[in-house]
Amino acid sequence: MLDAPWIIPLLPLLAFAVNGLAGRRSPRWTGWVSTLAILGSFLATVVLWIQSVGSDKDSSVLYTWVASGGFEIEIAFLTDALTVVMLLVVTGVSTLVSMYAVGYMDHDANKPRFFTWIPLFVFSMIMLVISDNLLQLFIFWEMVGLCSYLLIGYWYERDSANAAATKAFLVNRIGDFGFAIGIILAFHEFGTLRYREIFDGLGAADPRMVTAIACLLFIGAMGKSAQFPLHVWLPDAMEGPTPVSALIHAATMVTAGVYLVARLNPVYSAAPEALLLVAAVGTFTAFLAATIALTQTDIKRVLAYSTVSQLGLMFLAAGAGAYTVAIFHLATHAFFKALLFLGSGSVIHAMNDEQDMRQMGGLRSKLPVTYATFIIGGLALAAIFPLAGFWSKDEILALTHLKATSDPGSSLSTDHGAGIFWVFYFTGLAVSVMTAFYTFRMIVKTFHGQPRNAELHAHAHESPRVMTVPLIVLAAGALLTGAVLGIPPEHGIIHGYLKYAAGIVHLEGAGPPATVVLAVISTVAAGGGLLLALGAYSRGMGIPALARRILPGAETLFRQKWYMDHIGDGFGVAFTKATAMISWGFDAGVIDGIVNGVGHLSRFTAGQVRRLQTGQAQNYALLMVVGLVLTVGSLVLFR
Amino acid sequence: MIEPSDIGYVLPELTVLGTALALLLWAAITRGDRRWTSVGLALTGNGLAALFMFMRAPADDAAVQIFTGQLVVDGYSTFFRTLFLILASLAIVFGAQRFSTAPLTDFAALLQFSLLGMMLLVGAADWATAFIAIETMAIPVYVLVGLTRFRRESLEAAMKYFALGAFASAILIYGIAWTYGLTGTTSLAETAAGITAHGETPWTLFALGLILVAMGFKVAAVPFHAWTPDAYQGAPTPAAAFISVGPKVAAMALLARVVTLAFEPLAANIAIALAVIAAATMILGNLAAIAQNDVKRLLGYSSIAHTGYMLVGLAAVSQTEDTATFIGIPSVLFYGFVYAFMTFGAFAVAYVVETQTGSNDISAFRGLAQRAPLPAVAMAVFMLSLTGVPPMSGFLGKLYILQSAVDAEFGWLAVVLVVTSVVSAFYYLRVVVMMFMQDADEAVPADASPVPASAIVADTHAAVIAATAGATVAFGIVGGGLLTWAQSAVTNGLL
Amino acid sequence: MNGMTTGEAALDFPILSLALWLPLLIGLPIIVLARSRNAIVVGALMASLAQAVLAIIVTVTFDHQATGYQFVESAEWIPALGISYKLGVDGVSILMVLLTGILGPLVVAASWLTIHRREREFFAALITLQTAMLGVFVTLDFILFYVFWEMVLIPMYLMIGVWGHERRIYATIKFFLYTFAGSVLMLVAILAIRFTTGTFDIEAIPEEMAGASQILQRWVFVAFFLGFAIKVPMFPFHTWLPDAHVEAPTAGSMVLAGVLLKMGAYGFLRFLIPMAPDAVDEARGLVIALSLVAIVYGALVAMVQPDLKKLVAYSSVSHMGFVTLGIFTATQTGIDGALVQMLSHGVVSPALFFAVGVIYERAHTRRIDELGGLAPRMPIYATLFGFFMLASLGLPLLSGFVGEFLVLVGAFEYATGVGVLAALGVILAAAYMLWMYQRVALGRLRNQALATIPDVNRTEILTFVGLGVLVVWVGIFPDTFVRLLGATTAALAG
Repeated sequence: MLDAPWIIPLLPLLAFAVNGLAGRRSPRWTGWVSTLAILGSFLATVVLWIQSVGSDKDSSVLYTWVASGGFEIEIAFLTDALTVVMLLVVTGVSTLVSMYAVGYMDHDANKPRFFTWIPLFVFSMIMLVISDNLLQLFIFWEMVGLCSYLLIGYWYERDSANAAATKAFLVNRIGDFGFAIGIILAFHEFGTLRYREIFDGLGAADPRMVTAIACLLFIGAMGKSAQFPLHVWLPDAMEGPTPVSALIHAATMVTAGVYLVARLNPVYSAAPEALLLVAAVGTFTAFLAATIALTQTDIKRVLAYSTVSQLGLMFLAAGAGAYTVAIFHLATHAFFKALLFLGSGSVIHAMNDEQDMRQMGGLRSKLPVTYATFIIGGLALAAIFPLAGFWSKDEILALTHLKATSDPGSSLSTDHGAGIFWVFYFTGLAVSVMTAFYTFRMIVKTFHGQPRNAELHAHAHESPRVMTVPLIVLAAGALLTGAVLGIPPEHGIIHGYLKYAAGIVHLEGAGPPATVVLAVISTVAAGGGLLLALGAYSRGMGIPALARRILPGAETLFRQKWYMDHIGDGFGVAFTKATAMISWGFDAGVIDGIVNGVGHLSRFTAGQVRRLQTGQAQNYALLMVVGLVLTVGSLVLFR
Repeated sequence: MIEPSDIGYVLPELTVLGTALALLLWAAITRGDRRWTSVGLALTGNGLAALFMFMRAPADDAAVQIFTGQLVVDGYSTFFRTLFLILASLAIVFGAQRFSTAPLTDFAALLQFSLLGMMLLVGAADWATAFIAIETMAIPVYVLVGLTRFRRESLEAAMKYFALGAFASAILIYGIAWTYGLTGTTSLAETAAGITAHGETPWTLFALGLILVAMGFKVAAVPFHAWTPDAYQGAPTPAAAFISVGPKVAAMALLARVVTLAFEPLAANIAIALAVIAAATMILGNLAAIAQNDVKRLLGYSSIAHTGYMLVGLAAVSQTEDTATFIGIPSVLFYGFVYAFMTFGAFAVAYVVETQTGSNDISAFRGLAQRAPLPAVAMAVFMLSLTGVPPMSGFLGKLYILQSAVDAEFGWLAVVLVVTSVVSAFYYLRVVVMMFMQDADEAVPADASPVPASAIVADTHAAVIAATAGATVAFGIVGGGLLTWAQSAVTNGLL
Repeated sequence: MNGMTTGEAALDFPILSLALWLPLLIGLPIIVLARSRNAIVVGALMASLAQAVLAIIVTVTFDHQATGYQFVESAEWIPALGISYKLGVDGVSILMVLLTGILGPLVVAASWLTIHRREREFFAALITLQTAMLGVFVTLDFILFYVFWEMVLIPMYLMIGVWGHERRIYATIKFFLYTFAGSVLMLVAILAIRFTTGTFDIEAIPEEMAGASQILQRWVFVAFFLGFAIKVPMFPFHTWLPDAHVEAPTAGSMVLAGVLLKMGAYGFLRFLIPMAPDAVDEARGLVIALSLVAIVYGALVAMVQPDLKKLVAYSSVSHMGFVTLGIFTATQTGIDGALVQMLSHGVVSPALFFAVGVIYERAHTRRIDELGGLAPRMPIYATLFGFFMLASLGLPLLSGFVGEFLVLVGAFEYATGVGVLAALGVILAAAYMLWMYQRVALGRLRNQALATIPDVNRTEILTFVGLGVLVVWVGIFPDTFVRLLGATTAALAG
């Protein structure tokens, strides 16, 4: 098993092939084929994990993908600690989501298609994280994007779904544009794309080039992990079936960007400007998305913006140099965000595919399991002690604070702009408040109060066991992962394990007293947000109205998502299309016009020449005489 | 001093003359349908002539002067005489489809007379012989154009052709007179020495100019070409097929002798003059052809354009100093040979359409591929070959000429040649488009034909088409033998 | 694969001649004599399969470590002009031989479905075309090459003109004249080279041309460049392509996009770069600029085409821009990428044209706004179409990605700015392809006439799958193909 990491991607690949080729003949089994294959991968990963503790493994080469001159790329597996953590998260959450989807997609006529793409996605994600070089990562990075495209557009008779799918792909492509350039520059700078060889080559590399490469690669990460301004695709991606939202757009795929930065942490550490960019983008995105989440009425969109916001926090962590913390938050977030999405799916399922919270309310009694697990997920997201989100988010804020107050030492070569980390820290606190607020706004609106749509409410029912079991498992995860993995803060199991990741830098915290103080501050922030939400939506206090008076226009700005879609879909698309139309006009009018013009000109000339031919013998004779004079004359004159 | 053995060398010409006279006699003494006997007679005569020619062909590197240097029998003349014998034979078979009894015999006899002139012309070693041969060749041709007396345009074309031809003859004889006056000899070979002695004076150039212009008329070079389309359009189609090839190639053969032999000392002047004329001919011929809707006129302009291509070879040979490596003349020989088949074949197919629709308009070719697939395919072969698309022989011919131009560092002329070839593709392809890509006009009644009832497209005509098409393809793919022959014809004759 | 190639690649029989002429020898008699439509198709299929098998044998036995030409055959053809019959393949041509071979049977299959009149003539033209195209890639004599180069025009001209759509005559004449105009100048250049070097032997010329004057090189460059650039087609010589594609029958478009366009790029590599290296150096910047324009501009124009086929045609302009870019970067990776891109585009774009043809057969329209919502009615078709759409936009693990990425690597080696602009084309490719797919296959049914449209049949699936196998193979195991090139392209990159 130890020497056979290929079994981990192979199982989902087989499931993809089986479901793709034979799924239409026996749709009933497709869901279980998918689930069991992914479960197999998960178990294989667990074995790998157990065997790999404390060892620093070399990568194993599967085959040479291409070798052209000096450009040699292999498909190879690097199974270090970082990979194993990612694999555990990916396969674990995927198993549960796939199982959940067996119930959720039961009534869907096209489910073989669904259960074809899900294992393909898992396969691609596994290959992405298991890669030992940047190009293989990029290949599957794009494949993951493809799966996202296919699953967002799963209901392809809905125009909105198709538009969202296309948008997701295109926005990701824009990110990948930067990513690809970064990879190629990295190749030309380091002469290799293997992580370890790149890390070895950092010392001799041109620092400005390293910064450029790091920034370009981060553009790719921004696309995949939905960071401003490339975040616009993620909320629209909620057009896909809810399990997809849980799996791809919350727990796994969107974390690929964070993984990328963590994986390449020596590169980023060698490029402090790039790191600062990562932190800044992350922080701004976290804030932007949180404000938008405050006003959304679609339950899945709230969660989507929340995801964007949380991803922003992960980048803040990475940008502060706390890569392990970023991964930690990635892992905990995977559990509670998958849980919340699946819970929302359970609600939507019960409400006959209604996603608007204004049609909900009072579902607590109808959906007891969903409610209970949703509360756990909500508390975890809001980072309430001692749930998973608390441990990881607290570390992010703590380390941001640390960056703001002190030099973290030699682990980061230089330390630019420590001052700005104060801004990041307070923004992070504000995000904590807002996170708790919108989470409980959502919970209250959905589960509490009176039913706003009696008819839908009457038909609502708890989901079948195949859906609730994953909820319960995930809830357990949301409850426990933080405490199990993350205690004591900054020195937990996950931190210890990740030390074995290739080249990783572990940022040491400021020590217990300061940490506790910071933890209390962030808990108070989160609790405050929670209470505000309860006050506003459960007790009916006029907080929203007050907010509107204090900050006029803000609500509209948030509701319109800071007009990002207007700029992108409106201006960007319109500009491209206008350029395209002008190009086409140029092509038909000028370029082809010249071509046809040559043809017309020769025909016109031919018509003129023809007029020489009068049919009169005298004229012909005259022509001959002229010719005679010219010939003889020029011979004699120009001899 | 005329040696008795000289007669042996002119046996082919005598046979052709005898055949012509026999045809006239046969017409006088017989009645009824003598079409096939006339054809048989002519073909037998031509066959015998060929036999005699190859029996008495001089040894490899010998050029035999006969009749006190009036005529020369060499590989060069044998090459052309072979072509002319084949051509005349094809034309007579073609004519048998077109003409009823009486005109056919006339047609055949006139052809034989013209053939005689052509055969003498390619062997002419003296200005006098050359002039007589030209007239022997040309006068029957004027009559051929006007052979269908009941058609106004036929008579008109014949009259124009004759009048202008007479004008050209006058210019030629004037030029010959000047040459004689300057050099004191009528021998082509001795002319060169005389001109060298006289030097490159305005007068030698004046004489040269006159002769070039007259020959330019015979080969239909611009601007002495104006008679061509009218004559082809007016002439009965078999006659047009013959005229478009035979006299032109024969005159080209003489011109080659004149520029490489008689006026060789003026080669540099000739080169530039011929180059300019060639360029003008290619450009004007091809451009004017675009605007034509009558296929025979179109082929007329096309033949002008091809004159231009051949002149490129002549210009090149005059340009290059190193005559040991030149390929200009063999390229003209080769081109003349393959050009004969493709143009003749095109007229033969045009005649098929003419009998079917009574029209020579290009629109009459609509849907020919469905009505008559084999002629249509053959026509496509001819058109592509005339365009110069491989693997047809026209490509190899053009390639050879181009090579001579490039070797002579006449780069601009080569470019004019290929660019005008592209222009030519436009009108040649129009015919293909009509035949293959458009459906027949329902409006054309099948029996609207004004062509005599006896003129049916029969197997012999199909054989003409097949033979010319076959030759056009074959010389393109395995043209090496012909090329070698052309080369040795030049080394054994001209040089 | 390692075991399959050995050091000894020369077979003891003239396999290239066999591959070249066997289709004609088998196919033409059967096609001419056949009494039924099916017999004609079987004849054509046998002929093209024979060629395909031989092409695969050549590829498999090709020695990837050897430099120089392999499977060389040589005989006199027209000694009077110094023209010989000389064949051979190297790393530049091997993939094109394979492509031409493999595409043959698939195009026959596609034609069987789409050609319903004058089949005899059509398949005769198709088989002739097969031979002519292969001839272009295996000849080592300049004139023989030119013969095949021009011979390709004739059947293609007939295919568009006879079996094409409404404006076929305009399109076919434009196609012929435009490409003919490009190639005749090339002929002059060929003769100028012969004048300088005294030979038509392609193998011998580069060495002989090494000392050629700058002036001659420039002229040769201009003439060759025009000929090849029109064929590729490069911006701004591309306008014949959309017309030809739109009017051509499906099989015609497949061959046109699959092989004919590659002839130009092949010409760059085989002739222009080795024979006029200094002039190429001088003009490199300009050619690269034109390639970039083609990439971006082609993609932009493709984006707004209302006609599906025109969209695919303009996408060819864009994709072939990558090919020329790769070639002129003068880096081994760039050239390798260009060759792989040629192979990839040679499979993907025929598949897309076939996909368009499948729809046109059923819906009798190619207008994008008259389609839409096909996926629920034609699920298999939608999947296959989507697959090739993704291959076209350069999705990794499919063939399009490999070539484009390698070209980009080469482009960055040449100049960073060039690489960045070229990479922009990748975004645009995704945009127009996805947008097109969204409007054609997805969404609601807009045209009620298509409500009962049948899904693809077995033969169609087979044709798609035949093309798809190569797409996946190139995408997943590109080194199978790239390794064949190295020995040759390393020398070309200098």
